[in-house]
Amino acid sequence: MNGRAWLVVVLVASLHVVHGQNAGRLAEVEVGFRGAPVADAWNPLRVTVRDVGSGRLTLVADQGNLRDGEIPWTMVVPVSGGAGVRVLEVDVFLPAWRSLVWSLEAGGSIVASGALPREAADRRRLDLVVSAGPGVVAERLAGRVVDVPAALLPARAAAYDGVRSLWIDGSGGMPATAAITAAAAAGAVVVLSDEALRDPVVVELVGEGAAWVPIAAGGWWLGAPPDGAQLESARVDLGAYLAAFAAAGGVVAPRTVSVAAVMVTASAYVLLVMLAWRVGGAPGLLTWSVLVLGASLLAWGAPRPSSPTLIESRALHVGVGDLAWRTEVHDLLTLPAGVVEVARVARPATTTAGEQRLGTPPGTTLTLPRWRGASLVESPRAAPALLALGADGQPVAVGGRVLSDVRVVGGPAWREVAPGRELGPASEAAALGGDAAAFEALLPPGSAWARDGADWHVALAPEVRW
Amino acid sequence: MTMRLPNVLEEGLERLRSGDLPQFGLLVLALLAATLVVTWPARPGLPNESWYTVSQTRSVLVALLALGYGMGLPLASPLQAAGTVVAVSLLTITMLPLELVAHAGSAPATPAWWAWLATPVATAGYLALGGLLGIVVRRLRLTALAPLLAPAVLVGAVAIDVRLGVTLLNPLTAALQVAPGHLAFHGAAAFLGAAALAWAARRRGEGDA
Repeated sequence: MNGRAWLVVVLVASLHVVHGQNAGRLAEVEVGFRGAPVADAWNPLRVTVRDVGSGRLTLVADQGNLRDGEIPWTMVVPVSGGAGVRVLEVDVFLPAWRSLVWSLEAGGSIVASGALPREAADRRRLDLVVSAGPGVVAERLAGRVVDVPAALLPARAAAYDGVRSLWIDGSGGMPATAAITAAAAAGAVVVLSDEALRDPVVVELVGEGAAWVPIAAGGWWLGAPPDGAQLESARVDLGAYLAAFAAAGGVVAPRTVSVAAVMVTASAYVLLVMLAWRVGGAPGLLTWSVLVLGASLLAWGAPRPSSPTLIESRALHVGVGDLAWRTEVHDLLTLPAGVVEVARVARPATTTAGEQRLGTPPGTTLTLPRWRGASLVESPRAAPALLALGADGQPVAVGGRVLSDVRVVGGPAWREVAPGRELGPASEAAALGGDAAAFEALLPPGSAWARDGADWHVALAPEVRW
Repeated sequence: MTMRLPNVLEEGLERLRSGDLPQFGLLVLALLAATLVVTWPARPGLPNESWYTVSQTRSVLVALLALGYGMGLPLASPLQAAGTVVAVSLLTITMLPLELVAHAGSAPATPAWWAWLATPVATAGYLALGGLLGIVVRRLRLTALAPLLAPAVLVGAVAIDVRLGVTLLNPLTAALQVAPGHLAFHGAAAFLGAAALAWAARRRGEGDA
């Protein structure tokens, strides 16, 4: 090899080295707050790309076990790239994983990839701290305490699904009002120190006087700092509410024609065909043709369900005052085996293989065997409450909807509650059966709940729960 | 004025009116209807799995019927043979609405048109195979074993498919999924069988002359 050839080899090798060094910093993926994900919860996902074209990030979590083998849950996030630094923030559902790998694909090749260890699949909820000295809170709680800069707190309720509490003492800056409201709406206990309460914006948001101000599914903690046990008591167990709500629904497999009808029709068809053959000749052939055609049309029309995939959607609202934590459950039943898609970003209620696709259009697909039902649960979000409790503890419709089957836990019931109208005469609450009774048993005494079609609305009693 | 049908159709309808075919026809249709009723869900909420049983039952009944009647084709006159083919084909088509009920109720992933496409082709294929089997049986002078041969051929077909891991001959698996190989095999068998029967008929004619 002459000197010029060696020069070319060295140049090419150096190009590879430069490319490799850059490739290491092309993309960063952070799952959970500061890289602390919570298993079986919605988590914030932050993707930072540098000078990378548009592509997609794919995360694959294997939820399998030794008995069932691999059960992959795939999340696909479109990433809009380009020149310079681009940051994308979304929320993804992370099941308890056996392995979790991610890869960023752009321009037809993988530009970055990584994995999360199995040990990181921790179901314990986070205690987020916005403070210059987070060690104090860490010592107090002995839980999963994560120090988060105020500016990094997202204003999406789903991001706080795996958060138990958010501590703000004012020394680490004040997060955006929307961010702390989203945290409270998602069920987190927002602990505000006296210093934080000096901020007029915060005071306007939370009010003054009470040590505990519930809002939506969470609340503002304004008193002496709580310990771990107090935080657990203060939290609403939204997971239990959701499980009871999901269990109360489900699509029933259709059966449009009875056995007796099938027996009579099939027997009549066989006998008529035999008679047509007895006639013979052209009339017999014509009669037979009409019978086969007519029976086929009847057979195809009568017992066929309206759709091979049946989907029913219903929402659960849990709130205090004007704000509620809201999520939607989609019950589906597929008659043929195959892939079923719901055009929403959701997670399965039970461990199932599937794919969650963010972006436009969003969608969640599950691969199900025939005649199998499944429930998909959308990411939680903050929404206006439709049911609240008045000063006298009686239910009030605060939205524009008339709610029916209104019940106060441990108290009276009403047929309906309408906005701007007086409550009618109360009646003795009728005994509930099955799943509705199990749901009501979870609610604190004095709470009200009502229905709006298939949707359920809960107005939690603003009591101190610890 | 009465409409005059072609001789082959007249012969086929006559076969369905008299002799043993109406009895076998009633038997297979009653069997299929009973299968449908027994497998239909007894109460709402239960999965409807009836199609999976009904389609396989129909497929096996078609195979047995066509193989059995096909074995008699080499002995019959060309008109009688054509009449038998027409009669068996009409009988197998008669079964399809019963399967369609089950299909509509069960909503399987297999399309409903598959049975309507595969059944006539499979019937022709099984009739041809039966005809070839009849010629072989006559040559080997094993006519006493003829009633056993139709089920034996089916068992063999299932065994071959299971061994090869394909859906080519097996009526049980071919009923449940779109199987182009199954269609191609029976199409080819029908073509070869018709050619062989025509050849045999000509040989017999020459012998008689």
